[in-house]
Amino acid sequence: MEIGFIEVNHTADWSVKVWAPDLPGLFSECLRAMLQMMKVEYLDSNSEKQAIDLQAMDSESLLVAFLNEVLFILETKRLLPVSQTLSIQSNVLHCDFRCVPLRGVKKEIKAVTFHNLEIKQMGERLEVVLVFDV
Amino acid sequence: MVDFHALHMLNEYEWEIPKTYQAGMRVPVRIFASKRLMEAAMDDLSLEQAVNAACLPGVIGQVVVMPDVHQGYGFPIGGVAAMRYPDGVISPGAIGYDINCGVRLLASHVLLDEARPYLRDLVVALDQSCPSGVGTEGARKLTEKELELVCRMGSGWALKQGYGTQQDLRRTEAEGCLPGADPGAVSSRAKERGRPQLGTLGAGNHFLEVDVVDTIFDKEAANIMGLEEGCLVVQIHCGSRGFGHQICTDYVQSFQGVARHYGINLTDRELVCAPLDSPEGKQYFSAMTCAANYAFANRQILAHNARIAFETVLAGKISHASLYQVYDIAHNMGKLETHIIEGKSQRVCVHRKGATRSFGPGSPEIPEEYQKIGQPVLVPGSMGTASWVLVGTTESMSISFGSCCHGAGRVMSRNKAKHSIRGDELRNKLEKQGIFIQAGSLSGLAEEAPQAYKDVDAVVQTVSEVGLARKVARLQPVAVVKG
Repeated sequence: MEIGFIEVNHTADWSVKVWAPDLPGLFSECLRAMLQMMKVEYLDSNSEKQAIDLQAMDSESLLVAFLNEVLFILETKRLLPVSQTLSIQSNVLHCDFRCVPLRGVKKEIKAVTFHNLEIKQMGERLEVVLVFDV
Repeated sequence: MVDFHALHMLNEYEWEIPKTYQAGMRVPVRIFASKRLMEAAMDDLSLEQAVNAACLPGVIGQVVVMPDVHQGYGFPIGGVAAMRYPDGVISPGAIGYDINCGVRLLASHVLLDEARPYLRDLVVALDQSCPSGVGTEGARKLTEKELELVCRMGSGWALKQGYGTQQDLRRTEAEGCLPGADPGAVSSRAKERGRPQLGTLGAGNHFLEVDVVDTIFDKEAANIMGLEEGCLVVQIHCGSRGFGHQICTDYVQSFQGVARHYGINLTDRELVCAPLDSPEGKQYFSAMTCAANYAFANRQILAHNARIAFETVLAGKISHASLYQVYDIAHNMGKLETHIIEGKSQRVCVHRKGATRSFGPGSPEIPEEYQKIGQPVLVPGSMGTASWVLVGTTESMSISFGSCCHGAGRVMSRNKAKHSIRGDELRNKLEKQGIFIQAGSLSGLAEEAPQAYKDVDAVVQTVSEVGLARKVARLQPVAVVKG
């Protein structure tokens, strides 16, 4: 599979290995993995748009900022991103989300960590292992 | 992973990784564990994380690893490191996202046997009065001004609002308020998350538990604490909620550039840090203090609500159905303390991540009634297993910066736990053992199953043998509320 994720064993927290052919794809797949692990539930209602702009010192910092931004939106705006258009250039990210109202979250993620975080080029694809504090 | 041959066994319960083990280590790592617990610690990256912590600038003495250690992110859970003040560093990741996550113990004179018919009602009432779950909001949304007061006053703010008693504050670490809080160092995002969540338990491994005092090991200390064999107690485990999570998130992110600015090389980016006397280090310390005080106030409100629920359910059925505080301690915190290190008195910032303070008798920082016995040390177990009440010792001051273990410590990954344990079966099994369970999520319950944790009795035996703490009482769970 050229894009996907798999849960990795971690004693105290949750860890996931994610891969994709390019950086926007990797970020989107990391988001999908995070939301799936949180077991998010949404309300069947009209969608609304949310846009975010982020800048960071490198790709790893940008990834952490992106996922933490979504955690913030989930908790404070009670909105769940269901699709997104994402662009990344020179560590600057722009993302347009389509969001629906959040019904609930079964599992809490406190934060996305930098623990041993490194986006690696592995052949034709990019890979990263994320650790979530739960 | 750290190789077993790299470990020096000092005695039956103490091990050392010398600072020659890896280039960059500034101090050795001292591990308190039986051989069996050491083998469990070697199954994950705990010790490697402790070695990384031993490389932090300004770390002094030794990095201490508790017997309940397990792999965290950056810093091991069950780790203690003291940084020279003011030129050592402070690391948000080495304190954790749930700043001042901690445990409060409330005791009663109600016998389990007389309360047994009302236990189910009690669990329901406790669950209703202490909101739990992901992103749960409390009964009262704070104004911006009120949140600032919580940051500055901690439990004192809660008391002023009528949540609790003076005795509660006296029997709380640091009397429920650390000095030096500056709400100006806290982002608007953290404030937005913190305002609605005061007075909530949260989710994950946080819980509210009713236990019975099963065995008393030190009658004098138990008597001073008000612990009686056969009587009910209540434990509350939670922290600073989204407020603390966001503060840590903000600073771990912003410190990525700060560490580089100060020329600090790190083996793990989660251990980013700044000198304690730098503007960035001071700012984080002030923000962390806000979260610590928020957590103290949070547990104060939860304790007040638990007390009302307890008294309401048992009113007219059992006399003397009140709850009084034994103690409240933090296990994720950075604190400025003075310790004798390398033969001289030194001011340090002690980072305790999944480790509690355990100050001994005579310490000026513990309440008068505990001066003779030492500070109560609370070690919760894992739903189906025992919890422990210990007291701090004078020896702990010289061997662990006055610190002790904080729980049983995980041994099984969450992934493995949820694939090998069914939440509904676990709940049924625990209920057959006489433990009522009120859980927000069955899969979350499975992740927190007793078999995912180490043997808490073995952990306590180790700290007791080493002299980090003394046994006072063992508690057995009878009802658990989990988010």
